[in-house]
Amino acid sequence: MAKKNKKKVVRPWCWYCERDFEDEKVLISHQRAKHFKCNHCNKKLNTAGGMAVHVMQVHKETINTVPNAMPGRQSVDLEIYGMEGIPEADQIAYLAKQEDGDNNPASKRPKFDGGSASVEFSAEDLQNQLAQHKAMMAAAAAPAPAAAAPPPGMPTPPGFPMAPPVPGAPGAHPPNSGPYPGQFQYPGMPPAAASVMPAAYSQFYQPRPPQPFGMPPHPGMPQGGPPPQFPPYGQAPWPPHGPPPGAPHNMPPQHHPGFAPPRFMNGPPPPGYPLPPGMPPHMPYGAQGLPGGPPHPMHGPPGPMAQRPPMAASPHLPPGSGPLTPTGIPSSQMNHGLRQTSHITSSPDATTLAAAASTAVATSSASPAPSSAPVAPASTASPSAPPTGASAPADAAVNKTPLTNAAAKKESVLVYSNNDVSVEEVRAALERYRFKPKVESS
Amino acid sequence: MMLGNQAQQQKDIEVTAAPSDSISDLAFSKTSDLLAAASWNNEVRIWEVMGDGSTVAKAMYSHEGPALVCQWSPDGSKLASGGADSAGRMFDVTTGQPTQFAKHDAPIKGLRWVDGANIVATGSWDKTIKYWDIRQPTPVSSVALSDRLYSMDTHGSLLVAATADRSITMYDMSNPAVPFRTMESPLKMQTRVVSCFTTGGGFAVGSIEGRVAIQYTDVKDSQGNFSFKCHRDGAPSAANASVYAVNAISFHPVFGTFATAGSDGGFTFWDKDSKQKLKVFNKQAGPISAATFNRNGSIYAYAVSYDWSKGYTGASESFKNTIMLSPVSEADIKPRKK
Repeated sequence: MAKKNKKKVVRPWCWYCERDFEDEKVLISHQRAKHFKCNHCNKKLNTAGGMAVHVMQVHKETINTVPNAMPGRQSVDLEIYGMEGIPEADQIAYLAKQEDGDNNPASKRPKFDGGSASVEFSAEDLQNQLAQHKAMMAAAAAPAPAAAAPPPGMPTPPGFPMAPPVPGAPGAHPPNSGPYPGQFQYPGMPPAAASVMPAAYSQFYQPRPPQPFGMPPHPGMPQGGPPPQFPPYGQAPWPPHGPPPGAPHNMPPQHHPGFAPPRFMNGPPPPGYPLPPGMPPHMPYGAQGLPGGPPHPMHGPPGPMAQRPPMAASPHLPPGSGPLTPTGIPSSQMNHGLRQTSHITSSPDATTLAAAASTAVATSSASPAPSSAPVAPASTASPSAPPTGASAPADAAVNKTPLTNAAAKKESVLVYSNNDVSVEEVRAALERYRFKPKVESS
Repeated sequence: MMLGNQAQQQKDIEVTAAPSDSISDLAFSKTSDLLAAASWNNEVRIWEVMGDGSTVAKAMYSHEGPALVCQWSPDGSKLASGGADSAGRMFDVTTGQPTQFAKHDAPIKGLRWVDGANIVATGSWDKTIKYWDIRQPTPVSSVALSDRLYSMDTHGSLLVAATADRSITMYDMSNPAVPFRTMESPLKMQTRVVSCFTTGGGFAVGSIEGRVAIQYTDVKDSQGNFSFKCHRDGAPSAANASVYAVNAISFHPVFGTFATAGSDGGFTFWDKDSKQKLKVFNKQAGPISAATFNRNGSIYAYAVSYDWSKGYTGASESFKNTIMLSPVSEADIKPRKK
């Protein structure tokens, strides 16, 4: 249903600094305190002009800019009070910006232009996506059982036929590209790793709803088949904490038969297809290249790959992870498609997953550290210390860091930034503090 | 308390024999000058604070895991504490013996005596609050929460519980199993602490992001709700300003003004009615992990110990954990006209 008008009323906002407020009263008190306050005597005036006059008369000085105002909005001459007096043009520009803000990059939905390959993601966007993805994955990973913990299995496919489609994929391989060559690395992955996929796969899906599942609406999708199937994967069927590891196994088989053929039949889908969620170029990779046949081999590559994406923060590619790293997010996309096929063959091996998980945790502790400067080392350090018992919250902490940093617009450094776990929980999980109940038959 | 003569110097007195590990909670008795501290070294220690501010260690008992919360009973005869061993323990001052009165499935992070009844409410990371009649081994009632409990406080018949999902639930003790109001925290980041006004009618919420929100329980009074930033380093809007968690909020028993203590090692007195900062105190050597006023508000006790805000790397074996008693001068804590 087209929701034409903004269903929400626009919150009062300050023309001087473009911040918005709960209501006009708060806005006015903000203006008085921040913009209309005399620097000498702290007297709060009612307008910028009033403040200028006061400063002139009482302190014998002239001011011609409004304190704490954005460049271009510092005029002392405009009589702004609350929301009154805001020039029409600025009001429109602000509203337009709000609209844009609503369709934020994370949703990817509007950005998808069916056939065009114009998915040009800047390195930053990719990093943001990766960070958000990691965070979501971590959020999913944390509650999920250990078996599912390993970084989402890279869609096995990489090595596959994907190669051909890849080049064709929307040109958006910018910073992350190089992926193509890298993708061929996949085949080298140990087959055992493949088993990692299914469970990991489920991991992917939980956090992903906003992103991957933009696919269905995507006009570019050549295949009618996949889209309908995507939603189930991405959203509904996957309970937030992931169906028990067994679940992934269940799901794919059902979907697989239906899913794979349409998906892979298309071979190299038109460029637009791969990137529905707006994933970086790699997306097409996974989506397209998976022929129904090769699924088996797919299991191989994903293993190691699986570990990479979640761990490496986009700026830092763990050695050997090559193209995958920046495309951590895309990988998940890829996994989606791949997952289907892999299920045909085997079920993930819990031990492999667990092993992968711990490696993942270890690596993740190292890699994100350099990327997010002030806070990361702090929270990264805590994950390294605790043993696997704490790896879930720790992983969340590590992964949350890039998200927090990426998302924090003010660049102020939150000393403790993990929003999901309290300091006490992190501490109580440590070996040293962990409560070991006495073994009593009770 | 005779600490008035020391008020001028702002010389805070260190409590003797502080625990060897971080202090998670401090509690003064409402009827006497006993101070209790719960610590990560599993101990709960009790001192008597003398007229001149000196302290005498009186008793100590242990949990089987780190002790996280403690509170004196309204009549001052017992101290209840909860810890990471998922147990609630009661220490009877007269017998000098601890007994276990409560059990959860996960560490107990909130513990409060319910005024007027012989009941203790305990909240835990197992997402429940259980009400215990201390003489019975099974809870009188158990309430399910939406997520792990992070902080809990009571005043009169109001109990406020803050959980990990930033939800805040209020219970009326005349109907303790049913929340009478649930809301989302006004703060965007994880809730660290909630504390009820000592004058009733609302509570304060502190988060990990250096922010405190004052909330009135009655929806009619919600116009008065507001929040403010605190415990931050550097110029307020500067990039790279460090933002610290608010670890403790304590309301003055007499004036209704309150103090916040943060991970930055500083503590500040505030007046919520005139929305003013009353007094800022010098930063201590480490984060302030717990703080509280004594029964008449003449002493503000605060514990300087590592709160794990910087993870494992921030921990130092050699850091000396201290509990300080600060004499409170009326001028500093009295409400001020705007």
